[in-house]
Amino acid sequence: MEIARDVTSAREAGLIACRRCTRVWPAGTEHCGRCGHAISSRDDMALQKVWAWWVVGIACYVPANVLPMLHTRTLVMVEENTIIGGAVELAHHGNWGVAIVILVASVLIPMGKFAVIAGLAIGVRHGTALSQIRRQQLYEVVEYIGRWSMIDVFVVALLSSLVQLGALAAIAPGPASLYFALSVICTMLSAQSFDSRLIWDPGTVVDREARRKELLEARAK
Amino acid sequence: MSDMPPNVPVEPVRRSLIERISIVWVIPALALIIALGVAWQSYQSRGPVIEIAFDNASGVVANETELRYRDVAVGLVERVTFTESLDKVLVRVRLDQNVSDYVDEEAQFWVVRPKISTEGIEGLDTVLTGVFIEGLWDTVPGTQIGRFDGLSEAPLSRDGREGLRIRLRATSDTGLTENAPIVYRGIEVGRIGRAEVSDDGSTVEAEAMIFEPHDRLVSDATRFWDTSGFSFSLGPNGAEINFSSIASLISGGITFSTIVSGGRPVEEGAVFSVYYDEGSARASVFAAESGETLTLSVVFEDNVAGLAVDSPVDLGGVRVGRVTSVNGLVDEERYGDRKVRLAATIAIQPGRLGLADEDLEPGAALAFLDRLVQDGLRARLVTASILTGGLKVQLIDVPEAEQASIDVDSGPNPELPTTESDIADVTATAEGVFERINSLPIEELMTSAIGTLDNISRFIGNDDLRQMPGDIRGLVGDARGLIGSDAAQALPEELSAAATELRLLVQRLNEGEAATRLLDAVDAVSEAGQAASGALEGVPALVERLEAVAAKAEALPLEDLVSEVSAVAASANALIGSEAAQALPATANAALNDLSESAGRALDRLDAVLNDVRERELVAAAEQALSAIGDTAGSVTDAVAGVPALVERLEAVATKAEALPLEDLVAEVTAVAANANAVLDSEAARNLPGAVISALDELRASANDTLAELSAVLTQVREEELAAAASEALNSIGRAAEDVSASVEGVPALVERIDAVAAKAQEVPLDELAADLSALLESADALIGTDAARKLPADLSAALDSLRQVLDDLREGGVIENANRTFASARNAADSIATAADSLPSLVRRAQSVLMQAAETLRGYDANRGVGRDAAQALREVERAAAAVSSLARALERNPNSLLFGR
Repeated sequence: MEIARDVTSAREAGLIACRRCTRVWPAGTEHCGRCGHAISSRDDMALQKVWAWWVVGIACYVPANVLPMLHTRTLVMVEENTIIGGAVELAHHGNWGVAIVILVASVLIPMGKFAVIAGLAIGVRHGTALSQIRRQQLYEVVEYIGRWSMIDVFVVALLSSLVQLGALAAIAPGPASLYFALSVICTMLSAQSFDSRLIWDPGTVVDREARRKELLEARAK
Repeated sequence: MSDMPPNVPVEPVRRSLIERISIVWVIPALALIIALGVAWQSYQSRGPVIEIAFDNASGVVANETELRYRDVAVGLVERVTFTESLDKVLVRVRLDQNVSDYVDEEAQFWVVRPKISTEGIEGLDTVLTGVFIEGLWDTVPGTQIGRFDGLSEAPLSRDGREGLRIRLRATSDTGLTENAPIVYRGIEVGRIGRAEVSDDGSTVEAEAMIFEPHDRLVSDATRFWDTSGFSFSLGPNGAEINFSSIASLISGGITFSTIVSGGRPVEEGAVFSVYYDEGSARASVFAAESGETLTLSVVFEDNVAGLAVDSPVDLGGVRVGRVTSVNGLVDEERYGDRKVRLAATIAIQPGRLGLADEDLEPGAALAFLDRLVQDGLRARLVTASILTGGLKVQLIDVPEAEQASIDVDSGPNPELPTTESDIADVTATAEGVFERINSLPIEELMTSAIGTLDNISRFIGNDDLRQMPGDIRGLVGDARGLIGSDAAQALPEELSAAATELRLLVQRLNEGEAATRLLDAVDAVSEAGQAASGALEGVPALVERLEAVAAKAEALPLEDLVSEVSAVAASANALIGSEAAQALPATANAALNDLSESAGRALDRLDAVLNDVRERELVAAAEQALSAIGDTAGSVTDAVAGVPALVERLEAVATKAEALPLEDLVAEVTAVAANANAVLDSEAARNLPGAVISALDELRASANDTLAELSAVLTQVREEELAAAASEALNSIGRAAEDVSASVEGVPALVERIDAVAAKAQEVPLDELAADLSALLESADALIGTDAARKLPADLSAALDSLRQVLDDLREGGVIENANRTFASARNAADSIATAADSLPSLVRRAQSVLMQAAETLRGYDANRGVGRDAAQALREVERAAAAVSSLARALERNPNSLLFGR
């Protein structure tokens, strides 16, 4: 579907949409007449919220990768694996597929989310080379995929509850699982806090050539 | 879309800081605060870092290897580096805060690795988890230092157990195995640490630890010895095998014991010797093993095998040293021959002699031994073990030994004088024993034993012996029947009656002397006859009674009796008809002829004697005596007056006799006769006449001799002045007759007494008497019916044989001389008779009183009093005796063997 380049935003049309029930109201309306949600044309605090959650999420992501994710105790050995360590070990044993799945789900996607959210937030404030439509698509992908990041935690919880074979073997979640879950939650909240309408505000798309010229001119002065 | 809404003016408004900052920032702030708090807290709780220098840190990995205290992780290795000079591994360990105060300079660290030894497997968990560092420190906080030297081995008290640390020193090959247990009465109470060679290289030393609370068992009187492995020795002391447990067999081990009481507690680090075995450990208590030894030489005359190096040297029962060398010695100059002698060198430990500490040096010990030698101490070879034939040197006191002393100047060592050896040659002794056993007459002994046993079995199997208990029982039964019979119980009465009769008889005999002159007494007797005729008036009645008795007797089964008696007579006839019996009259005739001849000669002599007597003035005296007798007859007449009453009494007695159960008696008599018949029929009885004949022959010969002697005696009597004595005696008799007449006056009273006696006799239970008699006859029957009675004739003939032999002996013996002496005694007896006649009146009086007593006795006879009671008691005693004999017989019957075996 081809989206027209010049899109008139609701704000430009003097309208304001409810973010809960998507009903459009005239500008200046305080509360949604349908669902009663407080509505405003732009959330002034959105970027702050994004950054705040983002910081917490990335802070939690560090111990989630450093600390052991799984605590595996068998008859003869006790093993504690971090996420990456486990994937590397799997790869060592030849399980490349599983290792890649783990790496993608636990490393690539969270990292991508952090990057996308940070990029979106920066692009809103300082402009970006990406078109508004691309950014909107990115945002939708991030929001959609965010919930799947919890699959790691889900697997850990499932293993912990299933593999309790007494003295033979037992699997317990490591401390990293908690941090990982917190990190995912914070990332989701961060993505959700982002007001995607800001993408469409003028001035957020930067023409790189013009920008570079500007900079050069300023230097020449 | 024409009416576009007006453009909303976007006017940035300057707002306050709070309005411009979202509340969401609280979350990162909170996270930051939490993170900072946690970081700070972990930093706060983080303990100090210590450095431990190990020789070898194999398996120690940074950030993985833990430091553990009592198997609990209290720290983590942070880094593994080297010391400055690269000679040790430096391990940096982050301690936990809560234990860091206790890790002071006393702390010990070592690396725990898996280890498999004879003591078991240790540190198995480190196989999986990797090694860890174990730390050990006390429970008192101390000064903290940052640098420690790690131990290469686990210390002894690895579990933190307290105890006594000592050092063990072992000589030679006694094993001090590292980590071996110290066992006390089978319980592990300590452990040996790493053994190392001592500085001078002569001993092995190891640290050891006796754990609490067993450390109080160790005092300075404690001795340690080796229990590891097992030992088998075949030496002078015999064969010995010794091992304590399989565990110690593999791993080795030592044990200890406090040999004597009163030891003092030891200090930490005290040094103890480990002995080879328990014996040497115990022996060491009283001996200073370490003392210098006194070396002596001993030269033995006997050059025999068995003495070896290390053979013991004993003084009495104490081992005081050992043989250090054995050599031959030839010293012609000294001994005068070229004989090879046995020269042994012995090492004596002065401490073993029990000398005081100051005398332990060899010089003092030599002086002490020298004094002993002067008192007789000598060395000799003795057998230490008869099994191995090993010898040992024994120092023994020889009494009365030649004066000697220790030869200090001889050879390399002072020489101890010797004495004869005492070597038991066990083979020679055993051979001698076997030879003696071999020469024993075993065959003869066995033959004799077999013969003896055969005889015994024949003896036991003899039918006679088997019948013996039965015979004895029958005999005892018969005796019991006899004793238990009423007849025996009636014995006292019969005895008293017999006594009365005896006294009457004596009296009558006294009267009989007067009968030699009956003519003179006839007058008196006629008077008595008249009185008697009066008395006989009662006789017809008596005759009637007797007729009744006779009638009764007629009714008796006399035919049987007669047949039996006729059988007896037949037997007797047969007996008499036998040649011997027919020869008997001839023999008896001859004997009588001889006797008559001898008697004739004796009578001639007697006649001559009487003539002599008559010639002398005996007649006067006799006349006097006879007059006195006449008086006496008068008195008798009076006495007879009481006879009719007596007859009545007798009549009553006869009546009673009539009532007696004579039938039974006759039956018994018949049975007796039958038995007697059987007895007479026996061969022995037939042999009897022969025996009697021979006995009569003997008797005749003896009688001939005796009568000849008698005639000689009478001749002698006549020659001597006997007549005078006889006249005196007759005078005495006359006086006696007077006395008798005086005494006869009391006869009526006597008759009354007799009457009373008859009355009593009438009252006497004749029925019982008859029953008793019948029982007696039964007994007699049974007695005669026994085999023994049947054998009686045989015995009798044997007895007659014996009698004949006796007569032979008598004839051969000095019978004649004895007869001479007898007749001399008879003369004296005649004198005595004269004197006795004097006392005759008193005798009559006594007889009277006796009769009165008898009457009293009969009147007062009561079985429950006096003689009756005594007799009854006596009979009961007899009965009990019979019962005892009966039980004996029963016991013998049940168990005849008891006669043989005495049980």
